[in-house]
Parts: sequence; structure tokens; C-alpha cells
Amino acid sequence: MIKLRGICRNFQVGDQIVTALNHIDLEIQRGEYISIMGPSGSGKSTLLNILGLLDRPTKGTYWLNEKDVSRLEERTLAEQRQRNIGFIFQFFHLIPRLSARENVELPMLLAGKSVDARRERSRDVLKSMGLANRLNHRPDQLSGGERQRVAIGRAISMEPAALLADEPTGNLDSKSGDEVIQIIEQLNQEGISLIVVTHDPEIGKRASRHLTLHDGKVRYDTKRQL
Amino acid sequence: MKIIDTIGLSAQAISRYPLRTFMLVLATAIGVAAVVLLTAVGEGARQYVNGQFTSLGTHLLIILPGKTETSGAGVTGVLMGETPRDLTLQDAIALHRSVHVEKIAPIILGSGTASWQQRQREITVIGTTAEMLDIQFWRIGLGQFLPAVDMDVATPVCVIGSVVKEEFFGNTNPIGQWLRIGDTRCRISGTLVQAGRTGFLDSDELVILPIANAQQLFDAPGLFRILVQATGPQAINRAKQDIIEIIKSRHQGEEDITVVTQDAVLETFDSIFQMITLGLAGIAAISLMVAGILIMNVMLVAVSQRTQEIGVLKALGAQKHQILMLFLTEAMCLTGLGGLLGLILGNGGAELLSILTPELNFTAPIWAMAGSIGMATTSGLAFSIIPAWHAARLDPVSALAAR
Repeated sequence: MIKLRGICRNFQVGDQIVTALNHIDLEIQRGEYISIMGPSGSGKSTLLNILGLLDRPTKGTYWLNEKDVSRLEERTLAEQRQRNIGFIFQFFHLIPRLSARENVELPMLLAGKSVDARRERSRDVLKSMGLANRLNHRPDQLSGGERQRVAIGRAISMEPAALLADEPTGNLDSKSGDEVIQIIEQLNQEGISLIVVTHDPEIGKRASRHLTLHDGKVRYDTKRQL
Repeated sequence: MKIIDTIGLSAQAISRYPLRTFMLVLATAIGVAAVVLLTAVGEGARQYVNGQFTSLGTHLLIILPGKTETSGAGVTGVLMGETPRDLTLQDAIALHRSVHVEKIAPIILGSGTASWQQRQREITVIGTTAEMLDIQFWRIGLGQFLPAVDMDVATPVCVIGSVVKEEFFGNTNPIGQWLRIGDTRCRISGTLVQAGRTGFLDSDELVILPIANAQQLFDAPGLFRILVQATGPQAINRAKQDIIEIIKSRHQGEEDITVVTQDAVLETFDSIFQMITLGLAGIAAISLMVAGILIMNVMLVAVSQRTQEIGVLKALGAQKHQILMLFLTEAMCLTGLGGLLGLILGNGGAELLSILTPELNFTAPIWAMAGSIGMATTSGLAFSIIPAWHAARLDPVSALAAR
């Protein structure tokens, strides 16, 4: 589903050019469960942003579903993102003035789905997250774990092919963190590709494939060793 | 994304930041209210003046010596050393030939020293005929007006205005007293009721003589102007034609007079007041511009406050133009609300003014209301384009990372 060849990403910091990703080659199959680990500054988040089409590589080619998306203009990129990618963030990034349900409906609203379709889907999704009685609560009325579950609901409301999680448990206590991991693993079982960036080796180990980055390079990939 | 959803999202943002909403709505409302109120005042003044003119009777014509046209003997004639031919008393008498002319009042205006016993005063003297009373809607207090004799007959009588009467005679009856004006003396036959200024004359300060006496007094045959009352409002144009023809035939075929109808005077005043109203609207529009600048500032703050949110929206697949529309819609809703509130405030204020001053009616013209609302929303739109564009162009990765 995903194929990267020679992906580089440079950043201009003052006069210096910092290389965040240095010739990454990577292939990810549909339905895989991958954890990306590595020290701070190793390029984990940059890789996730490029995979999620939030950022474009300086060099190299990215095929998503056999389609070269590395040189797409912003407009098409946004469409691809809307259709294929769901994001979960460390700080949840829910819209504070919208209710749980409205947050989940947001991607569908942007995609122009009808009110009825949105209502139905958001109720189903939040029910499956165990939040059936929290539909109309605003984020500040929810616990951290509940917020992250709403965020997961929002990420999957458009039924994307891949779910990208950036430190999904980084801001949660271990109990809610476990719940969140269980939910996304369940989603992975149902067929979604799951890519988790994490610091936490406990969580990293649970993935079926481990990727370790160092200085912008893939240092360790369990798949390649197999 | 559907329009209704865009408005829905904007409405949520608006209701979520009440202070900001209040400030923007208030600023816009003040601007719109200022436009509505000031144009209402200008319009009220215009209608008041119109009403005053109409109450004077609209079938009045004023004949002035000289032709006020660029090609005529008006200003250019004077510059070239020509003086316009005088209007004479005979010209005025000749006007009786027109069947469309009902009343004629030639006027000579001058000033002189009036004295009675030990009292002395500089006064304005006007020479005219008995018909002046009706033409000017003056009313007699004591005695009677000038005698209805032929224009060229001099009778040593005069009529005095209320202020003149007050200053010379106080509460005593002036009828029959001899008033000295310059070298002549005249018997006071009547007084005018206080009326204030009407048209170009303040009747309260006048001493009115028969026209022939005034000609002798000032030793000047030329008339200041001739006031003519047509037989009816429909006769004005025909009377004007007749007057021009008669005077032309008496002046060797030269059309060297200007006939001003009250319509023309009215139109002049009307256009003056319309300009004043426009000017007031323009001044008020500045406050709308200030509101526009405020909108831009507040929207810029809103964008930087919601940078993360914009990042999230982009991560969820929002297009540039969607983000742009979201912020523009928000600004439009805010200024629209402000505009409505401004209309209510402005019209309420105009209503209040109308109640406080019963003789005037303040109503803002429709164009001012529509224009101010249009301008408010347009400036809301124009001034939020920069912030909205700024938002739409944000890079999603750095927007998400913003704190």
C-alpha cells in the first residue's frame, strides 16, 4: 500500500540545513501493525508527517496505493489525506468548542457528507468506543482517555486505510493508555493499517513489525531481518 | 463542505468567544448606526426646508435684473463693463398684461435712518406694493397695510415690522404717528405681526414704504427684484414665458432678466441638503472603516489563537479554500449581526430624535440603510481576507505544533 524510495527531508534552521530524513526506503502492506521508535530528533515524527501527507519530502518518491503522491499539489494532497489517512495525536487536538459527536463528524462535514449520514456514523463510532453516553460532552468535560477515544473516532470516521498515531499514550495514565492501545489494535485486527510512533518500548514491542530510526535513517527493521 | 455546515461551524466559533463577538458586533453596529442616524438627520433637515418652502406657496416667481447664464450679460457682462439694464417700475406695471399673473410686488431695498421723537435707528427700508402682503404671507397686527393704489403713486405712509414697532413705540399705539426716514416723513398706517425670516427678508426689522416713495427716498429708479404670484401652480410656466416676453419687448428684444421660480429655489436647496446628507454619510462611513480595521485585527488574533485548530482541520483533509471560507463566513456573520444591531440602534435613535423635536421628522433613507449594511459586510469581508488567507496558507505540521 505504501512504498517509499530514497525519501529525504531537509529543514532550514537559520543558516543551517538539518537533515531529518536521510534516504528512507520503506514498504508497508495493507493491514500491517508497525511501531516507529528511536531517540528524540531521529526523524520519527517527520516520517509520520510524510506518510500522513501532512508534509512533502525534499527528495525521493512516495507511492500511496500505487499512486505517486510525493509531488502532488496541496489540493489533491488534502483529498488523499481525507480519504486514506486518519491521525491520532499525543495532545488529542480536539476542537474545544465542539461536542464529542461534532468532533467526530468534522472530517465528514469537511467531505460534504449529509447530516443524516454524519449523525449515524458518529453515533456508531462513539458507541464502539464506549462513549455512547458522552455524545454531547465537550472535550473539557471528558477525561484524557475519553478524549483520545473521541480523537480515534474522529480519525476513523471516514474509514481510512491507515491510522497514524503520534505518541497516542504520551499524555495518558497507564490504564487509559492501555485502553487506547487495545482500541487501535482492535481496529488493526479489523483491517486498518496501524503505524504508531512511540518512545515507550512496552508499546513499541506490541507491534508486529518494529522500525527504529537513528539520525534520519532506518537502523533496524524487523521485517528486513526476517 | 456544505454552506450550511460552514455557517454552522462559524456560528459555533462566534458563540464560543462572546467578548470578541461583542466587540466586533458593537464596532460594526456603531458604524452602521452612525450612518443611519446622520443621514436621517440630513434627510430630516431637507424635508423640513422643503416643507417650509411649500408652505410659502409654490406659485411664486422672482424676477431679477440681469441674466445669470454663462453666455449672458451676467457675471461676464459685469466684467466686460456692461451693467445689466435696470428693471423699472414701468416694467412691473407692464406685467399686468399677462393673464397668468395674479399679483405683482416690485421691490426696492435700501437702508436709512429712521427717527421718531428722540429715538433714532438704522433700519432696512423696502419699497413695494399692497400686493406684497399676500405674496409674502405677512399678517397685519394693527392698522392696515399699504394702500392699494397704482404703483407710481407716492403716498406718505409706511408699515413697520414688529421689532421696529417695539423699539420705537414700546407698548403705545404707533398708528398715525409720523416716522422720519432720511429726508422724508411718513405716517405709520399699520404694523406687521412677528413672523421671523421668510425667504430673503426679515419682516420684523423692516419699514415698508410704497414703491414710489422708496424710489424718491433712494433716488434710484432700478428695482431690486419683482415678485410675481401666478394665478395657480399650473400657471407658473406660462407666467414665466409671459414675463420674459413682456420684458423682452420692453428691452429692445433683449432677454436681460432672470426668472427664478420657487421650484428652482427649492431644487437648489434640495440638492444642497442632499450634498450635506451625503457628506454626513461619508463621515459616518469612516467609522465603518475603523470598524473594518478592528475586524482585521480581531480576525488576525483569532487566526493565531486557532492555529492548532487550523492544523487539525488540515490534517482531517480540509482544503485551503475551506479554511478561507470558514474565516470569511465568520467575519461576515459578525459584521452582519453588527449591521442588524446598527440598523436597530440607528433607526431607534432617529425615532427618538423625531419624538424630541416634533417639528422635524427624522427617517433614514433606504439607500443609507442598504448602503451601510452593504459596506459593513463588504469591509468585514475585505478586512478578513488577509487573516483568512493567512490561516488557509498555514503549514499543517507547524500549525499542529503551535502552542
